[in-house]
This record gives sequence, C-alpha cells and structure tokens, in this order.
Amino acid sequence: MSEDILDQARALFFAEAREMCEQIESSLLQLEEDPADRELLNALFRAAHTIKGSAGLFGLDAVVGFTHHVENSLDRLREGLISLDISFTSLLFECSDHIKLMLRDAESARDGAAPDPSVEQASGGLVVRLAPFTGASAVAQSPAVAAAAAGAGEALTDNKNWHLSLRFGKDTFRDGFDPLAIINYLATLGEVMSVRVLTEPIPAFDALDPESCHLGFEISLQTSASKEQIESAFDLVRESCTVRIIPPDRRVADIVALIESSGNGAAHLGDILVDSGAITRHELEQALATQNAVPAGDTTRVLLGEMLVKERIAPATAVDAALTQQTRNRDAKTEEARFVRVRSDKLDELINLVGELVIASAGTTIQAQKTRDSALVESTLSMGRLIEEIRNGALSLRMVPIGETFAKFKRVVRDVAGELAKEVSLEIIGAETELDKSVVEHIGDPLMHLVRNALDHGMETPDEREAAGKPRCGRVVLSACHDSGGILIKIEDDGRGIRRDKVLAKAIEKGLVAPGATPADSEIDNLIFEAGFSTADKVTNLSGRGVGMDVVRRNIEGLRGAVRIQSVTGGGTTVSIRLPLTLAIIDGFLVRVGDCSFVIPLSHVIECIDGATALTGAANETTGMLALRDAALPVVHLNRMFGIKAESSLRQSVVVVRNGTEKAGLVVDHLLGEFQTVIKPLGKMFRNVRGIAGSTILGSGEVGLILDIGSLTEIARAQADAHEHQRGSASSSQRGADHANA
Amino acid sequence: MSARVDLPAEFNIYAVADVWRSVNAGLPGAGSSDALAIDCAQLREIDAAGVQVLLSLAHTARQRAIALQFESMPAFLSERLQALGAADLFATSHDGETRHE
Amino acid sequence: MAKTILVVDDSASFRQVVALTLKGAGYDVVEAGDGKDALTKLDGRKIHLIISDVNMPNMDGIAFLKQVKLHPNYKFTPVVMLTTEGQDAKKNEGREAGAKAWIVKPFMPPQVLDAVAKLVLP
Repeated sequence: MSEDILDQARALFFAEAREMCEQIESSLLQLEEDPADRELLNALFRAAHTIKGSAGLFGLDAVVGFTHHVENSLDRLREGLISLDISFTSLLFECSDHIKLMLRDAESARDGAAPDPSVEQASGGLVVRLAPFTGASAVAQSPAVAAAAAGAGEALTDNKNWHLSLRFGKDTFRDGFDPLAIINYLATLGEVMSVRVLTEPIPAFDALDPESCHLGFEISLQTSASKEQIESAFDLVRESCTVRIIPPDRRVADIVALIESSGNGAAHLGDILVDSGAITRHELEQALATQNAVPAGDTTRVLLGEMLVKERIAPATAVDAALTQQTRNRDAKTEEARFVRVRSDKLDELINLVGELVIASAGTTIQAQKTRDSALVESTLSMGRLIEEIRNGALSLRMVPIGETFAKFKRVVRDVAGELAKEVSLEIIGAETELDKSVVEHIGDPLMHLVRNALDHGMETPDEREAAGKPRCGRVVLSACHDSGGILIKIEDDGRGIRRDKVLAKAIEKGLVAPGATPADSEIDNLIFEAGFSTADKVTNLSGRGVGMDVVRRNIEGLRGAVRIQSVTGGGTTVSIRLPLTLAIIDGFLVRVGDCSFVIPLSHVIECIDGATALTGAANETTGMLALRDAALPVVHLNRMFGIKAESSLRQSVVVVRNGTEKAGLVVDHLLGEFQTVIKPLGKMFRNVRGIAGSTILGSGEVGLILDIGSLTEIARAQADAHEHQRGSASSSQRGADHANA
Repeated sequence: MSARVDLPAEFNIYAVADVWRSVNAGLPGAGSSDALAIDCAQLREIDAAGVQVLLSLAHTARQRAIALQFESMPAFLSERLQALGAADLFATSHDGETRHE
Repeated sequence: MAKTILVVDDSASFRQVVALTLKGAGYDVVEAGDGKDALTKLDGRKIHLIISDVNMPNMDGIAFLKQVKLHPNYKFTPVVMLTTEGQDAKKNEGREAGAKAWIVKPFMPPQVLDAVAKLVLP
C-alpha cells in the first residue's frame, strides 16, 4: 500500500522536476530580454533548488549532486556576484537538458534498466565548466575533485598525528611569553613527535632586534585530546600568536562521519563544523571577523567554507560534508514549515515570569552564599546559569526578521516616486536581520517618514539628476545589520544631500544657532532633527503634514535608540538608526541616592558631573538650577523627588540627561557606572509613581528602579519655567532651545 | 683574530640585547674565514629569545663562512636545540648526530 | 633552580590556596597583600611570573602593574591578572598596562598550574 503511495509520489516528482526544468529554460529566455529582473533570477534559483530538494527525498543522489552545482551558480547570479552572459546562459541550458537526461535515466533505472555511465561522465564535465560560476575552489566541486584536493592538503600532515603551525607575533617576548614554555606545555597533552623551528623568518644577525620575536614552529603532536583542548594551550597568547591546528587523517574521517551521521540541524556552516570538532569556536569567530571585514555584496568577499579550507583551518572533506549537511538542513526547513503560532501576550507573560525567575534565583544564590555551604552554592550557581539561558531563549522567541517591515516599502517607494514624478529604485539589504517584535512594530512609522523624506526632499527629478551627471533613476537602500550588540538600520539615498545653507538659515531664524556661528557640517545636518524644522521649498502633500523629523527622533529615542544623519552635498544622504536588539534588556547607567539604586537608560545620558557645585534652589525644593558652562540647566533632586534621606554631608553629582531636545540634570549621591540589565515591569505599587519606568535586579540581588527620563525632564522644565515667570524674563537668554515648539 | 663571546648564566629576554650588542660588535665580516667562539660555561638557562639569537647567529655565521665554536655547551642546551629541530644549524658544535623526523 | 612566582591578592585565604598549589608543584612563592606590599617585597629580586588580583586596597592590580613594568628587572616578566567576569573595561586598562594573560575568578587550583605551565619553563 505504502509502496503504491511512494510510487505515486515518485511519478509526481518526475513530472514536477521536468516542469522545473522548463521553468529554468523559460526564465533564461526571459532574462535574455531583461537580465536584471530579480523575480526571474529568484525563480531560476528556486527551480534548481526545488529539484535538488525533492530529488534528495527520493534518494536520487546523482541528481542532487549535480543540481547542487547549478544551484550554487544561480545563487551567485542572484546575489549579483556573477552576470548572465551568453556563454553562461547556454551552459545553463545544457545543464537543464542534462538534468532532464538524468531524470529520465533515474526513471528507467527504476524500471530495471542499468544506469548509463556516460551520464555520470557528462555530469563531471558540466560541473567542471560550472566551476568558474560557482566560485568554488576545492569546497564545492564534484566529490572526486574535492577528495583529491583534500588529499593534497592533508599530505602536509603525517596522517597519524596532529599538525600544529605556530607563528608568534613580534611582541611575544616583550609581553612576557616564552614560546618554549608553550611547546613544553603541549607535551602534557600527548607526545610531541617532532618540532621544527622556522629559521627563514629570523633576520640576519646584524639586522636582528633581539627583543622582537620572529619565531615560527611546525609541530607534530600525537594526542587523544580534542582540537579545543589543543587550542587551549594557546589561550593566553591568543593575541600574539597565529595557530593552525590540522587534525590527523583518522580524525578527519571521524569528523566527516560525525557530520554525516549526526543529523545536526544547525543552519550555519560554522556551527556544524564547531559541533563536530572540525574547528573551534575561537577559530570560527576569527574567520567570521576576517570575512566580515569585507562588506557583504563585495565580490572579493570569500565564502566561509572556502576560507577555512584555504587557510588550512578546516580539512576540505569536513567542510564538504558540513556543506552537504547544511543544504540538507535548509531543505528540511523548507519542506516542513516549522512554525507554531503563539499569541504574543502569552509570550510576554512567559518573559515576565522568566524575569521573576531570574530575580528569585538571584535571591536564592545570595541566601545560599550566606550559608557558606559550597555544595549548595555550586548548585544554585548552575541553576542560575540555566535560568540565564532560559531568559536568553525566551527573549529570542520575540525576535522577528525585519524583512516584512522592509518589504512594504517597495510599494511605498513605487507609489511615492510616481506621485512625485521621480524615478527611484529601492534596494533591501539584510532583510533576515532579527530584532524584538515590539521594536519592529514601532519602527515602521519613523521609517516611513524617513523613506518619504528621502524621496521628497533628497531625491532629484530625473532631469535634475541627468544634469548632475547621475543616472536618471535614483537609488534608495534600506539595510539592517547587527552591530555591536544592537541593530543598525540605514536609509541611504543617492540624491542631492542636505542643503546646508538652507538648514543653517532656518536654524538661525528659529534661534537654534546664534547668527554668525559656523557649526560643523555634521552638526548642521543633524539640526533637521530639531523641533519644527522643514526646509521644503513648497509644501507638498507629503511633507508639511505636521510631522517633523523631531518626532522621528523622539520615536526612536523612545525605543532607546539613536538616529544620526550624514550627507554629502550632491551625493546623497544616509540616515542611521541604532536600536537595541530588544526592549527587555537595557544599557543603563547606575546611580545611588541614599540607600536606593536608580538606573538611567544610557541612551539618554549626555554627561556626568562628579561633585557638582553651583547648585541653586531652595534646600527643600524638588527642583533647582545648575550653572553649567555659562548656561542654566534645570535639575531634579532625586532624593527630594522620591523622599529618600540623602547623605547630606556628601558632595553631590549630577547626571545630565536628554529627552529629545530637552536637557535636565539629575542630582544623585554616587555615580556607579554603566551596566546591562533586564527590565522588569513595575509591580502594582510603583505603577503610579511619576518618574519611574520600570525596575531591575542588580548584581547584588537588590532592586534598582529605572528612571523615566521623559517625565523627569518635564518636571524639571516645568519648574524652571515657573521660576522664570517669577523672576520675569531675566534668565530667558540662557534658554537654548525653542521650547514653544516642544 | 678570532672573536669570543661569553653567554651569561641566564640567557633570556632580559639579556638578549646586551649579548646581541657584544656579539655584533665582534662579528667577523664575510669571507674573513675567522672563527667565533661562544663560551657556554656559565649558561644555566635559556628562553626562546635566547634561542632566537643563537639561531640568527648560526644562520648568519654559515652565510659568512664563519666557524662557530660552542665551548662547554651544556647538555640541556643541545637537547633543547635538538628538540626544536634546530640542532643541525649548530652541527659544528658536536658530532653532527642530529635526528630528523 | 626552582622558579619564583609572586602572588598578589588581598584575600589571605586565596593567597594561601594559590601559594600551596604552586609550592606543591615545586615553585617558590612570594606573597603580597596589595600592590604596595608587592613592590616592597619585590625589591629587585628575581621573579619569573607575577599573578595579581585587580581589585585590592592601597594599590590595585593595574596601578601595581604600571609600577612594576617600569622596573628594568620586571619589564618583560609575564603577568597573569585575576579578574571576575564582565570586567572588560578593567581588562582593556590592564592590557594597556602590559597584562596579556588573564584568568577569570573563580577558578580551581589546577587551572593556576595550567596557566603557569604555559608561561614559565619548569
């Protein structure tokens, strides 16, 4: 019975696969007309991908192997790394024919006919011709070629032993390291079979700086230790020593077998290799750093697998096996849609509970430490680590790719450009970048405004562009990437750039800049984020809707992000938005008032003044003024605000914070520095306290309150205004910003 | 005239600059067919910086056809050089019994 | 001749454990309670390795390191700094002052011996 179903599915597969071949051919024909059509390029790739994926299900390894190469070349074509010329097109036609031939072969083999050996030979020939387009060296070639290349690489080793190549950096000796000690240490891991010191890099005696290290070693080591363990011998000299660790043949075979049998479901090549022990986590991080030094999309950027093989970090056979496994994983993922829909409030509740758990665990750890029972401490610590992992896992559940948000701008750009009679193409980079769902939800509006702005203000009309020597069609790039613990979203256009003379004139008119002042270009550019700014000559139905860039900035700062603008006159404008990955974790600045700890979101902090003097205001008032560099800054005394008994004898410190264009000072007892923490929603008790936004748990287990900078600056400003009214307009000249707009 | 250098008891990173200076001052030029004697009588320990000086010296001496003579070479040094696969550079100093892997 | 290691930490019990471990492995150990104490006890004597805590009263590990690296007898002496997790700022400061090797507290005695073996020939 199930045999029947299988037969039916098989028949269906052959029909489908032929259809896909036809799709390849028709896409190729259409691409001859329009070689840059992304949809067609995607369709082309998908067709090959589908054939490969389904053929795998039916055990048609020859089809999978061959189509893999076709798919690779199409992927690179899709990425714009190679272009579709006549020779490539005709080669792809041949490939499509060949796939059909293989399919027929497979179908008849099923009927008992012997497979045709000439088909296999033809596969090899085509793969060789495809090689220049797949960009693969030893990595993705036919198994036979790959195996030969791998053999050549490992001929360097003596098969039974690990081979270590060490190159010590110039400062090794000066940093106090002795390579002889490290080689000696290696002997504790196993038996050092041979060491060869490289004499060639050592300068001639009269040119030698004897305190600089020029030593390199080739070492053969027999050990049962793992690659990770061997690498640990170098953990102290990591920064001053380049290490290559090449496993013995037997190990390579083990690694390949492990990769093939493990069913490792990781999506990343690097993870599969690390898990199998082919490379260490440290080697992977270094390789990725090297790879990322070249921007994505640059043709000189190499593939990870290729680099690992070339640099002799990983054996080619292992990379090959991992690549196959990775492809299998991807296919598996697309085969079954592995998603579960979950209501987001359930998720929020879970995250909230996990937050409680983290706090409870911190409390338990502290209690355990008081007992001085080391077994108890040990087990609470390991529980704490697990809870940490649960927290990270729970937070990652909320992460979604930004692609969906980006995608809707395709339509927006097309429509808006049409309205404005401009020609604009939109490019999206990094759609797969993930960030917290709540951030994604809130970033849509500011992005919409910035994109519209780019089209409306930044982009010239096609005629203007032509006159300026630019292509008629303008270009807007929306990109997202992870960057130093946050996410960086950029909106780039190649329009006219910011007209600084106009911005400056407007700023002087608004009183934001003193007449005659000459701010730096970047300062002028960022003036457009000030309240009430619009330099559009005429009010179109897009601009002048009462929403200014100041609102964009406030929205982004509300997400604890920051926005910057950079512009090249005549060359375009780039707006960079930096956002935290998640709203559940905060980079904070910790301060102390009396016996209470407060956390100020770091993105709001401008500067800290240790031991501020020149504070004015009555001793019992909540607010006052601080003379800061010839200007008066409204301040809030946190101790009075929250009724905390401050250490009165102490010199007080002030943290200067910013909310939008408003600045205020917060008077505290101690500045404790930066730290990262998880935000907990407030309990019912605090929910109505003005000036508090949330709470967190400090390392000591004690609760820290997160300050609501928005309401605190408001309080400071309101009081300052009241003062001013009392004293007439005497101090109004000290007021920098145009607060009537705020 | 043949030059002569005494290695200190601890030939390590702290000593290499001084040793290098005194050897370099007395190092015969190319083709002088002179000899350089290195006295290891005091030598008690050596680190990689010291070994590097010896490697560079041996290499340069060979290029300039200067005969290097190690006097009272302690066993630990010849063992260490041998362990580094560098003993053949100092073949003149002992019987040339070097082992290759 | 046994190699000598200087151990600087304000916790006497910690020093004892580390010193005991090192002595057990055949090293000579000099103990000091803080940076100032360490400078006094060093006084130009031969030291093969310095193991120092970062956070200490009187003179902390970084200040001590800066001082000791000025002394001609110690400028190339390897230094292992002991730190608790997440002290990246301190680590950078220490790196600039010349500490290239770090061990994260808490650690077990064998880890100390391991680190020492990678830095000092027996």
